[in-house]
Amino acid sequence: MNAQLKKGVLELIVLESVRKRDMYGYELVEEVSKVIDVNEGTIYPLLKRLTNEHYFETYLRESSEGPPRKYYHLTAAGVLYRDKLETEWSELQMRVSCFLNEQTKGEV
Amino acid sequence: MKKQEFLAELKDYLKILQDEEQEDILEEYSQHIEMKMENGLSEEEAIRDFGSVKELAAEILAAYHVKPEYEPNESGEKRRNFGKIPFLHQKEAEDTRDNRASSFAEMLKDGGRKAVGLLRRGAKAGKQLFLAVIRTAAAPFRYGMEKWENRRAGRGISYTVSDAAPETAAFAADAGKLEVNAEGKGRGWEDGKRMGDKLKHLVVWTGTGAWSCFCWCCRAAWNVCLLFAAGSVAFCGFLFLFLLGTLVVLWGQGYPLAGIVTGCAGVVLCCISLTVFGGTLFWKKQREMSLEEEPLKKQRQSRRMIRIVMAGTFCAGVLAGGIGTGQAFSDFSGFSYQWIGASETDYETQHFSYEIKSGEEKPVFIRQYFGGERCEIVEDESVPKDSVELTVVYNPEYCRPEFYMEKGEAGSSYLSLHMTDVQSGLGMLMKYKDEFLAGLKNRELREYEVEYVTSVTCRVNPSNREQIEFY
Repeated sequence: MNAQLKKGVLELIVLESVRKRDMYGYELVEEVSKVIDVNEGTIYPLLKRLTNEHYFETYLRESSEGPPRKYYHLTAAGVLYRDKLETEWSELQMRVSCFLNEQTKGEV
Repeated sequence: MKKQEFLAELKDYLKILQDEEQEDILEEYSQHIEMKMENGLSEEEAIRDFGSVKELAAEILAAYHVKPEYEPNESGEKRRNFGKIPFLHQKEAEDTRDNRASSFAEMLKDGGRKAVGLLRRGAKAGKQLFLAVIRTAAAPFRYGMEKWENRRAGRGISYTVSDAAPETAAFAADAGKLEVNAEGKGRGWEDGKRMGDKLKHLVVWTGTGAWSCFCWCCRAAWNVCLLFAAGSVAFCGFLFLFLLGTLVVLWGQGYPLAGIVTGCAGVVLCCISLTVFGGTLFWKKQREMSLEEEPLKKQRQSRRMIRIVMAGTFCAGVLAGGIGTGQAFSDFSGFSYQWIGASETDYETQHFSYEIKSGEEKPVFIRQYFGGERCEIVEDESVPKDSVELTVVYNPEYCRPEFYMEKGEAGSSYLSLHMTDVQSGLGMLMKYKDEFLAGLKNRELREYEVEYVTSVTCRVNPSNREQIEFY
């Protein structure tokens, strides 16, 4: 898939995933991979950026299988941001679809 | 690449971040790699998915908005810098290509961001100031705490790393943050020990804190009093210095002020010496930690020197004051007094005459006192009948007589002379001040006779004598 397209929707997917359930890094990579193909090199820096911008909160939770894991939690600001992204995505989707349909009709 | 290599290299790129941040990031990546390995991948494969370490680090740092080319000046420590990062700039170029349409919005956002940055910096400065105040206020407690902590550190307490996988523990040890004992497994506190230690800790902390607080209070009170006293003495000193300046100028002009000048100089010296002496008495906190012997000794020695010098100056000042006072006394006792009277030629005489209406036997009233002088009635044959003559001897420089006549009830007449001032007070002052000051220079105190009117005479014919009355 085109890298730019992926990059555009990655934030939205990540925010939505964490909104459903607090997750840690590895878990989140798996979740997002179900939707689009992504690698750790992209995800972790993104998580760091979103955390620094206070859309995520992190906390450590003990685990039975190893050292404590860092969990990501969506803040109120994060929820608002996610909603905004979703609105923008819907609009973009609609407009691009309309545009493409027009072109198709035009050609016919 | 091995996991350790990867993490080490990444850490190196992230040197600009705070230690805790680095820790955090590396721990997360380490865990991730571990979990991938548990799921069956090899170490190399797990790390491959991260991509280039350099790019990864750049992406991470982008979240902190740091300059990629940042290279701090640290002596002896070489920091890796990114130099030119074409891929980063390339990414930026891609972004601008896409967002050219919204460049204006970007500009606004940029301006807003800058304003916010400024505000943030201002808030940070304010916070620093506030923290500094708090820190100074809490200094005695912190000092006590530090002493206590140093003693504890001396005993070499280690922290717990419970259930740590040896590699993570070793890695954490690499980061230098935690100390782990050789077995790789944690060593926990015994409960009883912990409680007792905590209690002891609390008692010592309160004790040290209270004692330091008390010391600080005493010190502060002493310093404030000293400051107040020294300040007021310094102020007096400056005042006298000012006075000294004016007196020296006057003395230069010839006035007999030698004594007073010396006295003033003496007082100034006293004040200055007292102030500096007070300055050396400032009570500074005795810091035990890491003070070299040499500067401290020198400081003490210099202080002593200053104190001795100031004591000497004070004595000199007192001596000068005494000498000055003695001289001043001898000066002023040598003054003579002079009375300068007015000469005869200063005065003028003026005559006024008044005709009494014939046939009237009404009384004529004359003002008794003119300009401080009593009017004399003189019977004179030479004065024609039914005529009153007023003669005034006065000083024309000060005043001028005017003749007034008023008709009273029942036809009686009131005669008076009014003295108008010729010269103003300022004029008189200017006239005599030069002479007076010259007299001062000659050690004379002069007083001038200033009379407006010397005498007033009223001359009448004896036949009209009964008509004249005073009022």
